[in-house]
Amino acid sequence: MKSFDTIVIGAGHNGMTAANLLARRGQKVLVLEASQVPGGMATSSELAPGYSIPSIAHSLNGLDDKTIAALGLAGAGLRFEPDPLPTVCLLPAADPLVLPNGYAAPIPGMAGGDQKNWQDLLGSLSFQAAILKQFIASTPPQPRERSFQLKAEGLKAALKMKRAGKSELREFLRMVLMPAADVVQEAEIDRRLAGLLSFDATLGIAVGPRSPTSILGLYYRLATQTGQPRVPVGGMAAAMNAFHQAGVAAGAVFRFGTPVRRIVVDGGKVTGVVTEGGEEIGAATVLSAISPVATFGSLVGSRVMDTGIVRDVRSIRTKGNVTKLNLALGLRPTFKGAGNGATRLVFAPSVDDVERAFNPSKYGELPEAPCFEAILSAAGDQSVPAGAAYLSVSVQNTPYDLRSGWKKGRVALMKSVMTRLEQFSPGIAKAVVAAETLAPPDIEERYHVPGGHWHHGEWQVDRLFFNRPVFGAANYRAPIEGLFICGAGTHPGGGVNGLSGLNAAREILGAVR
Amino acid sequence: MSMKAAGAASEFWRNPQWKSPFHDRIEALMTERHWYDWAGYAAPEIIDDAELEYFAIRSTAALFDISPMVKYSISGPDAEQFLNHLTLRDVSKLKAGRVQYTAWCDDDGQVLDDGTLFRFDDSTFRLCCQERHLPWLMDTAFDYDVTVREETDEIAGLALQGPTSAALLRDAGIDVSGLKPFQIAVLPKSLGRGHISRTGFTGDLGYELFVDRKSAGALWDHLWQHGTLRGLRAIGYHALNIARIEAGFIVANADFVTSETALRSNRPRLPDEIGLDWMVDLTKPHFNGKRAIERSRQSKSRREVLVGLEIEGNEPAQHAIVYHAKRREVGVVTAGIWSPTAKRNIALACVDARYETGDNLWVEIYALRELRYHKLMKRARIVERPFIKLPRRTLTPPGDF
Ligand SMILES: Cc1cc2nc3c(=O)[nH]c(=O)nc-3n(C[C@H](O)[C@H](O)[C@H](O)COP(=O)(O)OP(=O)(O)OC[C@H]3O[C@@H](n4cnc5c(N)ncnc54)[C@H](O)[C@@H]3O)c2cc1C
Repeated sequence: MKSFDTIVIGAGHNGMTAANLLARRGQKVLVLEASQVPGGMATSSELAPGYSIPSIAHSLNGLDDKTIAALGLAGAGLRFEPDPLPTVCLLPAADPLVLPNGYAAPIPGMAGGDQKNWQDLLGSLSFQAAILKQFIASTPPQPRERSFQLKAEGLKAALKMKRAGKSELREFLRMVLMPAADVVQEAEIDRRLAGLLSFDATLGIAVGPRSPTSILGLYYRLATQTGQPRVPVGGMAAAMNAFHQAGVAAGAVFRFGTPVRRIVVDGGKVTGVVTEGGEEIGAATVLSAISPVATFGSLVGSRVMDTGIVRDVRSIRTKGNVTKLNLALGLRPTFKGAGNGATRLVFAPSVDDVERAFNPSKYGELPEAPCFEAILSAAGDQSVPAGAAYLSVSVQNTPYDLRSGWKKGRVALMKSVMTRLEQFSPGIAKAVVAAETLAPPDIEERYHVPGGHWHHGEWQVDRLFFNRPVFGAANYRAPIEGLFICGAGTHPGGGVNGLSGLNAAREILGAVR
Repeated sequence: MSMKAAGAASEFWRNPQWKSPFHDRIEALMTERHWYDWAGYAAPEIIDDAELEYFAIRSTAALFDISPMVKYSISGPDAEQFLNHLTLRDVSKLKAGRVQYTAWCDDDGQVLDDGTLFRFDDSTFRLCCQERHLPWLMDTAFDYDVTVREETDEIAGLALQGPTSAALLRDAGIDVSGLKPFQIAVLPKSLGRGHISRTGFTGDLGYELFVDRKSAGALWDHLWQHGTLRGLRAIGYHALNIARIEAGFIVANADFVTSETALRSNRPRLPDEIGLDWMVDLTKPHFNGKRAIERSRQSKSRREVLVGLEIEGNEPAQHAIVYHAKRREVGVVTAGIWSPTAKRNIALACVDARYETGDNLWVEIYALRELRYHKLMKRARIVERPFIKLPRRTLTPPGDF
C-alpha cells in the first residue's frame, strides 16, 4: 500500500490549487479525480466534432494575478484574451448598452449625471468589497473549543474599516444586508445598469434583487473579481490543463477516472481513502475538495460524526438554479454592440425583469422571460472550427426541483432562450450545429455535485463566513483528525477563484508544521 | 378547526399542566395541595407531611409517581449502535434485562442530560430522562435502522422505595427475591403489561414499576392495598429530594445546567465537570462529544468539579456561595440539606477545579431569623459521595422487613 502525505479528493480547480501548493512545500500529494479530465465544473467538452465548449463555467470569475503567480499557472500555459471582455446588455426594442470593460471603465456615451451616479456607486461598493477581500482570502475566525472568541477578530475588522473613516463603516453596515434593488434605486443609476447589477448580484444564488441581503452576491463578485471576469485563451479546458500541468510540475501525482468511495476513519482519525475500485490508499491527511454534503454525507458518513454537525450538514441547501445551454454554431452570429473579441451578453433589462424571472422559481416553475448571461466566442477562437463560434449560456432561476419535470423543462427552456436570442441575432437558430441543456440535476450527475449548485450549497448569509459550510468546520477542518475540506461549498464560496484551495492548503501546512 | 369543534383539547390552555395517570389518587390523598411542574405534568411536592414522607423512604415504604419522567422507546436492529453513538457508556456491555445509568453530550462534549437506559432484549431499549430530546435523538438516528418514539404519555411509572418495599411486593404477588440492583423483570400479567426494575433515586432498597397507562390505576390500588401493613405512604418530591441528596445523586437543571436549556454559553458542563467522568468510555470508536472531551482532557480545560461537602453546623446551605479562605468566591452549593439519616449538614456544590483538593473552603449561609439575616461563614470539607451507604440497597435477596 502506497502512502502519501496528503490525498486530495477531486481535481476541480480548488483541489488542484491546494495540491499544487502542498506539493510545492515538499509534500507527497496524490489527487484522485472521478472524471477523466481535470477542472470539475470549470472545463470544456466536445459538443460536436471540432467544438470545445465551456461545459459549465465559461469565465474565470476572480482568479487573481497573485494566485496565478503562486501556482505557476502562466508557466503552465495559462493565457487570457488580450482585450478586456466587454459586456453587452441586450435590451428589447432598444440599442444595447455596452460596457467595454465590465465595471472597470466608464461607459462611453453615457450622460454626465448617469455616469457620475454609476461611478459613485461602483466607487463605494468597490471600496467596501476591497475590505471584504481580506476576509475572503483568509480563514474565517473560529469558535474555540467552548467559547466563541470572535471578539478580537471582529474588532480587528472594525478597526480596519474605522481607519478608512467612520462614515464608511457606518455606510457599510447599513448596506451590507440590503436588497440589491434598493441599493441601485438609492444610487439612482440608469435602469439598464440597475438590471445588470441585479443580475450579477443574484446569478447562482436563490434570491431575487428584492430579496433582503441580495446585495451580498455583488460584494462577492467585486471582492473576488479584480476588475472583471476573464476568458482564457483556448477555452476553459486550456485553463484547467494549466492548473493540472502546474500541479504536476510542482510534484503532485494525479489519477483520473478514480472516484473515491469512502474516507477511512479509525478512532476519530483519518487513515486514508478507498476508491470505487476498492483500492485503499493511506494518508494521514485527506483534503476533500468536493461538495461538503458529499464529503460528510457519503464519503465519511454520519456514524463517525457528532449529531450537531450532521444536523447542520443536512440543512445545507444544495439545490442549484442555474442551467447551462451550450450551442455550437456553424457561423459566428452578429449581435449589435459585440465586436470580434469574446463578448459577454447579458439579458437582464431591468430590476423588474430580474425579479419577475425569480418569482416562479420559488414555486418550482420556469420564468416566462428568463434572464441569462452568455459568452460568445471570439472570431478566430481556436476551440471551434474556422469561421464557427460557440455561445455558452447560463440561465438564471431554473430550479432543481422543476415541478413539470426537467424532461419537458429542458425543451421549453431551450425554446424560450432561442426565441429571445433570435430577437437580437436573427437567424441564429439556423446556425446551431449542436446544442445541449444542462439543468441542475444534469450538472449534479455529470460533475458529482449534489444539487448541481454553482456554489455547491446556497451562498446566503446564514451559510457564509464562519457558518460556511457549517459552524465549526469553516476553518477547512472536519471534526475528524487529519480531514480537511475545501471547494465551492466552503468559505468563501464558488466561482473559479481558487481561494478555498489556497486557504485550505495554508491550514494544512500550518497544522502539520 | 373552530375553538368549539376542537372540544376538550382546546380547553387545555385553561390548565396547561398534564395529569399523570395517578393524578386523581394522589389528589385524593393530598392535604398540602402543593403541586409543582415536572416536565409539563402537575406533580406533588408534598402530599401531607414532608418529614413523615421522608421517613417512609428510610424506615418503611414510599410510593412516588415517576410517570412524568420523559421516556423514549428505542428499537430496531441498529438500536445498540445508535445508543453507542448517542451516549457516553458502552451499551454493548449492557446485558438484556439490565439498566445502565448514563449521560449524553452535544458536539462540544457538553452534557445534554443524564438518565437511565433499560435494555429489554437485544434490540429493544427505553431511555428515561429529565428533558425532552426527540429532535436530537431523531437526528442522531437518521443513518441507523432504529425507531425512536416518545412514550412518556403511554407508560405510567411508580417508584416504590424503602426497606419494606421487597416484602410489600412479595405480599402483592410480585417476586423480587432474586432481582439484583439494576436488573429488570417482567410484571405478572394480571397487573398489566409492564416491568419492574431494582432501581431508584433514594440510595435505599427500592424498585421502579412501569406499566401501560390503562393498567396504572389498578396497579396503584393493588400496591396500596398491600401497603397498609408495610407502612406505605405516598410521597412528594420534597422528601425524595432529601433522600437523593443523601445518596449523592445529581439532577439535571438543578445541579448542572443542560446544554440545550442554558442561556449563557459558559453554563453547560462537560461530564468531567459534574462527576460523570467515569461514564466516558474512550475505547468506543465514536460517540457524540468524544473529540471535545478528549481535547478538553488533553488541554486540561475542565473548569469546575462537582463535589460533596460536609458543612459545620446544622443550617442547610442551599444555593450558598462557596469561598476559599473566606475571601475568594470559588463555587456555589447546588443542593444543601440537613441529612436526617447521616445526621450531618451536607451539600452538593460546583467548585472551581483549582480548589478540588478542598483545603480552606467555606460556605456563606444567610439564615433568616425572624426577619433578620444571620450571615454564617461555615467551614466546609469535601467528602465522598454518597453521604450515606445502606447495605440493604444492594443485598440480594433483599431483607424481609
Ligand atoms: C451553471 C453554472 C455556471 C457557472 N458559471 C461560472 C462562471 O462563468 N464563472 C465562474 O467563475 N464560476 C462559474 N460557476 C461556478 C463554478 O463553476 C464553481 O463554483 C467551481 O467550478 C467550483 O470549483 P471546485 O473546484 O470547488 O469544485 P468542482 O469544480 O465541482 O470540482 C470538484 C471535483 O471533484 C470531483 N469529485 C466529486 N466527487 C468525487 C469523488 N467521490 N471522488 C473523486 N472525485 C470527485 C468532481 O468530478 C470534480 O472534478 C458556474 C456554476 C454553474 C453551476
